[in-house]
Amino acid sequence: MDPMDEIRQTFFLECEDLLQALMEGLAAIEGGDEDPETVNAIFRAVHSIKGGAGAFSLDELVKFAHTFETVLDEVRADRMELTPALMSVFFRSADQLSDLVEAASVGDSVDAERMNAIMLELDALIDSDGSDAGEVEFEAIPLDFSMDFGDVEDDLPAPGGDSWTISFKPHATIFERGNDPVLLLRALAELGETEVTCNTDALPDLADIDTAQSCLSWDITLKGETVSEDDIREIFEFVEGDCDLTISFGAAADALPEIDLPPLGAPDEGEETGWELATPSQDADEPAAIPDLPELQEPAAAEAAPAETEKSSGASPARAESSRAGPTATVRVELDRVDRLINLIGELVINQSMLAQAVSNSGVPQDSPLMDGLDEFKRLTRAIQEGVMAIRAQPVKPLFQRMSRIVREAAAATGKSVRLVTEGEGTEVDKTVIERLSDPLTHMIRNAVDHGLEQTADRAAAGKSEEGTVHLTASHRSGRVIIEIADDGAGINRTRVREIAVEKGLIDPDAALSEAEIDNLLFMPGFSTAKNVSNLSGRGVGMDVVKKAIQSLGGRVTLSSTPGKGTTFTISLPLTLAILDGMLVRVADQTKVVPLTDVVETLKLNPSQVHGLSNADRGIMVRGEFVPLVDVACELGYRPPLDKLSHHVVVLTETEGGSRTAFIVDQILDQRQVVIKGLEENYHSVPGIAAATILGNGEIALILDVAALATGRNRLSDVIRAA
Amino acid sequence: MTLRILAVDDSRTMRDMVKAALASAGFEVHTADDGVHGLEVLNECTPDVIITDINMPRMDGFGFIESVRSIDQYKQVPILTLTTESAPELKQRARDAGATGWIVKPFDRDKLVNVIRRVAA
Amino acid sequence: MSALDGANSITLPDDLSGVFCEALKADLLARRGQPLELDASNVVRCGGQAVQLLVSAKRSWASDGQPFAIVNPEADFIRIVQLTGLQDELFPESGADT
Repeated sequence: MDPMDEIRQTFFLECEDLLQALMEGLAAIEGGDEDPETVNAIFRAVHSIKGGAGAFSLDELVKFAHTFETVLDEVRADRMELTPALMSVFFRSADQLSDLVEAASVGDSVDAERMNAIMLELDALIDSDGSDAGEVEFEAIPLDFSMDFGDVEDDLPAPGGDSWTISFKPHATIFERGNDPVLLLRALAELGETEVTCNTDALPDLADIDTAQSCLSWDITLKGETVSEDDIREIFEFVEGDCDLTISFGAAADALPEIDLPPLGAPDEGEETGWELATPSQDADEPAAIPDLPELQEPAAAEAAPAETEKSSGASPARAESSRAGPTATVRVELDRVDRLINLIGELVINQSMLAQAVSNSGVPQDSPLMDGLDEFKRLTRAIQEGVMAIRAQPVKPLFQRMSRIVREAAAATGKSVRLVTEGEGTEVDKTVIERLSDPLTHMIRNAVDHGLEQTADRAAAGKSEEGTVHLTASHRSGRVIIEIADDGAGINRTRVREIAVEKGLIDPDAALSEAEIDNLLFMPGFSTAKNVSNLSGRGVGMDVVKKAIQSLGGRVTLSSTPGKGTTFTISLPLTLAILDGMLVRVADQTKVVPLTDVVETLKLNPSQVHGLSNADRGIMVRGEFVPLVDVACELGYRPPLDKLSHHVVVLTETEGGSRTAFIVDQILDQRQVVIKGLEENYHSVPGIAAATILGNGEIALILDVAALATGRNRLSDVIRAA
Repeated sequence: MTLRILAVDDSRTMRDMVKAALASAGFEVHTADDGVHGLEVLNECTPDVIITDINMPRMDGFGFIESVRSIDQYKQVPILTLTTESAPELKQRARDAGATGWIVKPFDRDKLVNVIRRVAA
Repeated sequence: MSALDGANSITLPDDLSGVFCEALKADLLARRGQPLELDASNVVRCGGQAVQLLVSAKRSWASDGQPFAIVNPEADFIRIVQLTGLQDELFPESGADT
């Protein structure tokens, strides 16, 4: 890869971290954090984004980051107070910055109107503050920079035959700052032929010499037809203020008027403008000195003096070491490498189980050292597997932080006052799961604000605080990740939900539904509670899509609701997408895997319990509950429907929301962990099949997609009608 | 003689860029994440030239420059500040802390290399 | 090869950067009043402070009426001294002063 492309990638990765730090900092401040280092950290995050963006000529991003940073700097310097209104601007600016970064990463542009609106707000803050207005313009102006010092004849080379005459008397400070006259003389000699005369008049006797002092001065004649004054100035750039310097051209130094910069004489004046090496890249905006805009120099210079006196107070980043610990040491690894490793471990797991099977087939006694070693091997393989999986695991924190933005936007769109409380942000989940959880979670959060929470007036009338709360919680529970979205709104209006379901023909008008069953109607395709589809949670996306998205991650979503108290959605996810605890079953001479999380129990089929005649509406009574029966072999096309069921086994499954399906299989073989091999990337998606795996004996086994196989048989309405 | 450079910047992007630019010019480049880290690695790499950012966590560029200058061995090692800041008072502060020169980001590779060659003994 | 028979001799270090000048000054002062020869064969790096120190030393020795010489300079050191315009002062062709 082109090194710059690689660095560009690094930049966008780093932006993610910086944006996260920015959001964290803002949230901390909102939560009452008054540590000045928090503001500093926020400032640095924006500043670093600006710095990197400049390197890649992401002009829009630079411009916005700069404006944002300028306002933050005012806060940092205690010149502006952090009001709730200002925090609101900061949050929106952070969102805008995040959008700009994302747009830049894909070469897109952002909504100009929104961008301008927030820019105006920020600009207004700067203008009202006044003091820094000059500096903003100072940097925002695109620059055509050519090492120009504003002198009249500076770009003229010395006319033929003439030479530059340079008089140079360094002060002691030149050494203190790590510069050295020898190096400057060397640089001059590189420009052209020099004739150097050293003036040693001021040199004291060895006994009296102060080695830190500068006692020599030089007169240099520089020949060089192509040398411009700029070339010479550039060499002395860092030492202006640390020396007396005159540059003139002509045969004799006094024959022509000197071309000189005014403030070179006195070492203690602030010669700010000279001490800088601008290193412009050709096309980037250059936040450097612009000498040919004199009106801008004035505020800048005026500012220098007061800033000087208050430099020990607030105007600077905290120099003291923060109590905050530095970032934890990390290694960045390409995801590809981790995935290759995961694949290899997968092979290892398969190999281990093949080995175990071979050993077991060979009739080795259970208590032999070989079996002990094999057990240890199995344990280690598992440990390695978990270790590698942990590499892919990431905290849900960034995901949750994005949700706070969703809440802000949703609250603004609905005119509600909403607080998002997050817990368990450190909970780690597979990276892919996190990525694919973003959309469904966004939708659920919007739903919680839009539908879950009441309007402010209604809340007040119900004696609740006007500010609604949405809790977003992540935790680990029995080998799965649980994510809860809980609002403290009015709860599900079950009467209304039922009416809608009837209107839409989803249920019979006189169906007897439990509360849980009514709640689960929300997940049915074609259901939408919104009276008018608002532009917020509407968008034609229903909870059924959310459910599908979560299912595709091997997850389940359930909900519970208490009238007047609120609604809680619970998402349960596997820790990883790469390993699955499965039940191995035999179906028409094929081995299939049923995900263990879907299995409730297994039963011996008793034909007397089977109700219904045709394959299509057959069901079974399990403890008084009617459950549809699905003949797996038939569904997958291995054999025609069986007329008569006899010595079969039933695997009772339960998918999200508690709907159950009984799968007919021929035999149950085993329970074990299998390595998931995706079909989609290797073959193509097959209805009813979630993925494949390789078993210990080398056989390929398909993993059943329980939810898909149940679909068509397991619609809630079917259950209800049958009941 | 290969010049050893210590580049201190809290931005990984910037460290990578400086490293790429200078390594391609034949310099030996060491990096540090902030001022504190910079001081930690100082004696491991005994740099000929130090390049430092200003805005950094834990210890900023001013603090770092002052700390380096307080060590006898590094009293005169060239220290270039590399930052997006261009405000005169900040430059003056860097000067007061003992910085050798000031380079504004985004930097041009050849310019940066030239400046380093110029200030390195 | 020594240019000054029986003189005190100091072998200069390879690095004559500013930070080493105080030590060099002390070394030089300790030999004040006696003939002195500085072996510059190792010097590859030399800053402005060392240059002025050497010139001052040379003049001080001259005012004391004592011989002083910098011998065996290598190319790097010669180049540095040339840049400062002091080659005639520090490396007079005779190799020894007075």
